[in-house]
Amino acid sequence: MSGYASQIAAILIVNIVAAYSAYMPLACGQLNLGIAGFMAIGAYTSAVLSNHGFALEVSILCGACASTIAGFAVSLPVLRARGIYLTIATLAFSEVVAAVLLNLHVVGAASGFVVADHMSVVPMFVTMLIVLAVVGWLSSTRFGLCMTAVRNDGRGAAVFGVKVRRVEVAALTIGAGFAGVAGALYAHHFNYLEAQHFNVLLSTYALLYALLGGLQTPFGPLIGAVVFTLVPEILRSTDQWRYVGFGICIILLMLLRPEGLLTKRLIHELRFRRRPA
Amino acid sequence: MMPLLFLHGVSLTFGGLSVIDNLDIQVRKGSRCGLIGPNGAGKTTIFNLLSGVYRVTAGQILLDDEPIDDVPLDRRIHLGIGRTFQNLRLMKQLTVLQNIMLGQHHLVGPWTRILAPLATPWNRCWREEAIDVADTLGLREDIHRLAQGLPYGVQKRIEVARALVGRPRLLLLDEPAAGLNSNERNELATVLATSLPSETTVLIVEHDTDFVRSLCDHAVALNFGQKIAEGDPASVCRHPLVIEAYLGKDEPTYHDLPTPAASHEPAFRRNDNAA
Repeated sequence: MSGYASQIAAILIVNIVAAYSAYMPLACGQLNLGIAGFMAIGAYTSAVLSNHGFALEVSILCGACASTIAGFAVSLPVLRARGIYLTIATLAFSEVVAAVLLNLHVVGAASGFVVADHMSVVPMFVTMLIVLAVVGWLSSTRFGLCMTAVRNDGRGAAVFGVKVRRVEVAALTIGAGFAGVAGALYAHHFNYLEAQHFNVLLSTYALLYALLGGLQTPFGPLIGAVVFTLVPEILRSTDQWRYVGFGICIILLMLLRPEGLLTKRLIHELRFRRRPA
Repeated sequence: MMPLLFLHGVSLTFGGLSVIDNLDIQVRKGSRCGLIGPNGAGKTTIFNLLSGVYRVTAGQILLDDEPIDDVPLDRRIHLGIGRTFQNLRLMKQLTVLQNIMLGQHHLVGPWTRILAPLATPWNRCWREEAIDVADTLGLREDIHRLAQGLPYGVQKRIEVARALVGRPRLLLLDEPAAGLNSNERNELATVLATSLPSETTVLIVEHDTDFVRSLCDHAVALNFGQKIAEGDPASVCRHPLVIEAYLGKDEPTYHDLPTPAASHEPAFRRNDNAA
């Protein structure tokens, strides 16, 4: 694999995992703009531990655990807010994390932080598969059912005994854990961290991948991340016009498939077309 | 027989507006009780009080002699209160089977909820039970279809199936026949009459008095949040206050009015009692 292809593959893997960190709360109807903050926590925790001699796998796992704990701690107060207020609260959290890291000299502050251990694309791909398996498994259980029910009609779901707040907290926490994994993968592949990288644009892109891919199936964010990571690369030859092309793609998609690229109805239709009654 | 449900002096106000006013209702165990009354009488509000959507302003609700007023919305189903909704509240992005299985949520253990995928043997008994209920309500062919876009009558039956699969002690059916054509209505009445377990107490809100008469052994009529009649469904439907609540008071006809010559008053005047 060429250097360019491996870099694109690494970015794609990080984007896919980040898309799933956005997908989990979105599956419950929560718009989380704090993904960059959770990614930063995972990235810096993993980087610091690996620089102190911990094994790569242990460092990544600890990074994921740190962002999961942060996700749980943040979700309790933040999920008291609803709608746009929740989004603003998560965005504020992300900005606080970035500001703290920017001023924390132990991790290089504004100069950035060099990460010793390198991770190649293959183990990154395996990690991504594990994340996909966890999401697929969770979605196929009653927990997945509850997430969709909470998104469709939270109050209606509560009538059937679903603890809406618990489901929301769990989804945001698991999503934060995935963001930590994405951050740790990024840290160990590119071997250099900058607090400025973990900005609101990173969270926005993660949300975009999940939303445009579709929230109705666990494969939506995968499709969204693949398409919207590769489209700008394919359009790279058009120089600055690629941003215009990318924007047009998003607008067209929102017009033609407002529920995302992959919907349950599409899968249902494909299945019935294959097996005519 | 002991009442399963006892609403004792229940009132509900929204600000200055009294929606339910000092209401007393008793529903015997295993009975089928119809709740009738015109629009705005407070029928669905009572269901919302029973299922925990609203809290009573005054009075008490007792289920099997236990007060339930402080039990939160998501715990009411654990007491055995299952319900359907007047305005359909199906999860549109779930299949029919998944919607029905949502009704079992409170019966399933926490580890099975989190760890066991729905299609695996760990959930087989729950899945088979949901399919059986779907079968009883004539939904077998549709179980793998998305709830979104299915005919209204089918969606109504999914709601009933979802409530039934939770094995409720008290089943609240909110206008189950509304919006159905006469064939669908008769079909639903037959299905409910045959498929509801005899030990399940049923409270039905319905405008269709024939539907209530065919299913219920007891009826309560409400108007403006107050009880106006109670008894067997046929006599309640014939009660003058119930007829008046649905149809209004008789207007005096032209011949009932005094002639101008006799009374020296205008023949036509505004009737202040007219609704």
